[in-house]
Amino acid sequence: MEIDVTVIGAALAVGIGALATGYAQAHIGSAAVAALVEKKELLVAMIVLVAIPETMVILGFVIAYLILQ
Amino acid sequence: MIVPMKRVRIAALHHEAEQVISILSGLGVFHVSSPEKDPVFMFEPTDVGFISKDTADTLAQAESLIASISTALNSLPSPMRGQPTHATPKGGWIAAEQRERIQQMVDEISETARNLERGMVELKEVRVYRDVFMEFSGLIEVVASSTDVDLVGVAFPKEGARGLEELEVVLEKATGGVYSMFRSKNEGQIQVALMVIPITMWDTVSQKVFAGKIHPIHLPQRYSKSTFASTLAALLERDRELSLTVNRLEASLAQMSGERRLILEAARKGLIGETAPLHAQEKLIHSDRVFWISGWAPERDAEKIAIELESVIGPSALIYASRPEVEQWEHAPVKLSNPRWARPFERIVDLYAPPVYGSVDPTVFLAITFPLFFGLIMGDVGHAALLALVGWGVSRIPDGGSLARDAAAIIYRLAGTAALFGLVFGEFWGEFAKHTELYTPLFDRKHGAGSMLAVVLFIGFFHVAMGAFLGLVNAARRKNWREGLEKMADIMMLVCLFWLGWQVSEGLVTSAAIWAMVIVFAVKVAAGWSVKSALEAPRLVSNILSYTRLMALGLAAIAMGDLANDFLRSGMASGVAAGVAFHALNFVIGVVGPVIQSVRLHYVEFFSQFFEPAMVRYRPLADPAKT
Repeated sequence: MEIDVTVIGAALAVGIGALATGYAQAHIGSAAVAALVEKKELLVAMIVLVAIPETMVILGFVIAYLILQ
Repeated sequence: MIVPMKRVRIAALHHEAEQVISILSGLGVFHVSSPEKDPVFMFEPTDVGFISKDTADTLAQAESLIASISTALNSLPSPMRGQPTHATPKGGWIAAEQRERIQQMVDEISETARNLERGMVELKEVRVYRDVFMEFSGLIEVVASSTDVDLVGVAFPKEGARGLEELEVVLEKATGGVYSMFRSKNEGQIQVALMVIPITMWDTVSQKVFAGKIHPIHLPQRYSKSTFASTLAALLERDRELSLTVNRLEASLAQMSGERRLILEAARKGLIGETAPLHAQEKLIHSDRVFWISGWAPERDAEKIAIELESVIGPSALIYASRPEVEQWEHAPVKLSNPRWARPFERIVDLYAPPVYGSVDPTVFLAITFPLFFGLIMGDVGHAALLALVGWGVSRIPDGGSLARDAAAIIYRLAGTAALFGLVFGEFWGEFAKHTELYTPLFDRKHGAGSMLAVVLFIGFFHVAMGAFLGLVNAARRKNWREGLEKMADIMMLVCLFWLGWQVSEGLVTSAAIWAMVIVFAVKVAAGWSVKSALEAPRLVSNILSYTRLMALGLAAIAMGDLANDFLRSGMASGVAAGVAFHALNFVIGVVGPVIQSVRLHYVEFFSQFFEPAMVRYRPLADPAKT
């Protein structure tokens, strides 16, 4: 059976990025909720902080796209 | 833009203090700053705060009433649907008899809320005993009629249920296994167990089991009757009584909420406005005969203050207004004033922080790029139509005030750009439009993802470069040439990056582009002369790459939409239901995701190039009757 290595590479680029993003967001999110309980005005800063790790999976997605081209 | 401010200093004689504060409150444009020795007035200060004992008492009473009203308002249940939630003070100053009436209202609410709390606590307690008595009725009756054994109850919080297992181990040792334990099957927060122990062993059990952290529970004296049946009857009767009392008190509080919430909110606002001038008096600096106060006012209003004070007080009032020096900018209060079309977006800037005085206000830029980014990600006519409907719903929120109006204006703008890009991409609830062959899209972003990537990277270059340019403007306004040079190097570096990127896409990289990049990097490091400057250079690249999310999120939404449409095309009832559910989910994700990502691109990538948050917001002293 012939395996296309580029497909595996693309899957790894998105998959590892997604796992890393999930790990980071889980930790940031739980800390953010704890902080928000004490200081509600941090809401926007917390939303931004939670969104920051998404860069990893988005860049992974872009790399996957470039690999598959 | 940020409204230009003037630093205003006012000095007058002692007996004119209250009049001056009253005039300033009436004008409603003077922002009082913290007391400090002012170099303009050369009087020698003796003290801060210019407030008589009577005024201090008035202030203390008002503050106490404000605190009581706040507590009472917190005790009231949320307003019922349709009830107005915002109050505006009417009539300004609150007369003494009105204060008494307000105090009576507050006392009644507090008393009712206290009784309700007490009733709920007792009701909870009674229900625990009632449930235990009903669950173990047979056991309690048997033990009550026996003279050989005794019954002991223990209670643990549900999460501490392991304590019961440890208790059994201790009991086993203490009684030699002569005991019985019955655990409650109750689903509540408390794990209850009853233990039957021979009376002869009671002393041993007391010493070995209940001497430490575990204590037996006893039925309170007030429920304890002579027989099991009469005790259970007493508990049931008390449960009924308390339920009625709690319901009555809750209804009473709900009624009070409807009748008094608006009055109390208006009174609180009025009192806060009333105390503001007194707080201002606390910020006066004075010598033996003269007082002075410092603050800020919009440039066009500063003259108004001078004219009004001179006409009322006369020549004994000294007024000195000046434009702030660069060093004072960070202490100047900030008030934004933008064209009407951009004004709703001040709220998005304000959520982060207002910009520091003297810098560029990014609201106008954000009012253009925020909807642009959102539309580029969503890019679907169907989603846009539904979003516009949501915007209409937001605009119709009763008593939503300016927040609902601004939110609706922003949502309409987002829906507009999403519809525009939806037409360009030919998307209507996913790729539905393409399959109908009624419409030929101008650009297919799904199959032209490479071109889309180039477009969003170009947008990233442009947006980050615009941020760097605004940083250059800020540096020039502050006459900070070193920072200006650094920002200029950032812009040049972005140009070099664009040049290099272009050459890479053409498959030809020239040494000239690489050298240009090296030289600009050296200039940036030299200008900043710090490790931070060196580290910031690669950050520009990551900032630009971050804009690829504009493409990635859109493609993800198309994939979800396609899946939903495949379900719909199956024609089966379950397929149609799944398709509709997927479209609904895609719409929610399609709104929340682009909003968060657009906010992030502005706050992180764009603002980091130039934005400095302000320390002080403009809050003028104002007469409550006029606000």
